Amino acid sequence: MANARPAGVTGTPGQRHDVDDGTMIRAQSPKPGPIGLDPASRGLSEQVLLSPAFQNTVQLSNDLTAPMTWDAFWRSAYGRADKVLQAQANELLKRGNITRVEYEALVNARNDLVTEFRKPLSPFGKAYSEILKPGTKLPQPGELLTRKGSIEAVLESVGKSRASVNRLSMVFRVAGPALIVLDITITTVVVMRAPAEQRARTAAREYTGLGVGVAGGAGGAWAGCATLATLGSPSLVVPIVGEVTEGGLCLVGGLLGGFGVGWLGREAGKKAGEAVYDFVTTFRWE
Amino acid sequence: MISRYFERLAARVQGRRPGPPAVSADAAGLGIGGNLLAWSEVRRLEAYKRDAYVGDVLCLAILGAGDRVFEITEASPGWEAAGDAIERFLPGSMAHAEWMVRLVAATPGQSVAIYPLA
Repeated sequence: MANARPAGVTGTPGQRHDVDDGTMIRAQSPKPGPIGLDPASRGLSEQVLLSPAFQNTVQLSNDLTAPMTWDAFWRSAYGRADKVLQAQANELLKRGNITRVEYEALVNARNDLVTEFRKPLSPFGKAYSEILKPGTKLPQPGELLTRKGSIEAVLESVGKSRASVNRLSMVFRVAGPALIVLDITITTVVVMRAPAEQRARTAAREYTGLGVGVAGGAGGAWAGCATLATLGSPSLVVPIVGEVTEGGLCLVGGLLGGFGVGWLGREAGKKAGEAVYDFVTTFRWE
Repeated sequence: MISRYFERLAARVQGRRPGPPAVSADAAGLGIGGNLLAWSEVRRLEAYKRDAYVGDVLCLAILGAGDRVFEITEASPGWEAAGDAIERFLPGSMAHAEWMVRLVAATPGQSVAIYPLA
């Protein structure tokens, strides 16, 4: 073991220090560190200052953003796959003559791509995708025109909607992985700081809390999205109707739900982790 | 109002969200929901993709007489048949297969003019 020395009183026979006779001090210098603590007994995790406020902020944020980060990466992956389809379609257009079979194969490939990329989404991602689809209530004659002004305004609003979803997705792709790494690091530090005899129990508590917290965040985001988005359904409560309003409410609900249920999930997970550990370590076959 | 909210919430949770109304097309014109748009009234057709977070939805905006604007999507029952009918009954419009391929090839934000051709 590193930094270990035989137990006993300093200066007793059997413990010899190599002290240079020419120096002023006649004893071995201690290792640098805070006064009053024995540096040899302190591990790296004990030297890390961990603010409870920072720990809670990171853990709650990760519960909330982990599922959204997952979805954001799938959105990015779809974008790349779609570029391949775009290239194939451009090749067909360059050639000039497109047969019915080729057209159908391309459209089927595109439909399969959309379907397959939606399968691994979190419940929130699936719900948000559904909400962004237009047409649950087809605009009545003139309604769309009244709302948008012209066909150009419709196309412009389509572009704006894509830009805002792109920005949101970018935030999750950048912040999400950082939060996941931070959360795992903090959880590991908490485990390592526990006394040796409590470390396994603390690990069971903290890592179960992490897992259940993320799962709770995913469920809460979906529930929050469904609850608030329904308020934005056409003609129900909010007078300004439309997919954007419903999508915005889904996002807000998702964030609130993910935050609340994620926190509850983490606390429940911690308790469950401890209970399972206690059960497993005290269980005896009779 | 509260009971209507819970009905809608239950429908959403069970995946029973109402889909878009059907589109039909024949020699008389385009039937969108309960509205009929004669072919002679069609002034402009523009196809585009709407962002659906992961994936997109193919859409068609139809500008009719009196500045009426309709929007149909690939989720509308009768979408394929309507595309074929546009090619058949609206002389001077782009072929169905061609505009669909152009739409697949389009980058996000681009639209495809189907009628009149640019």
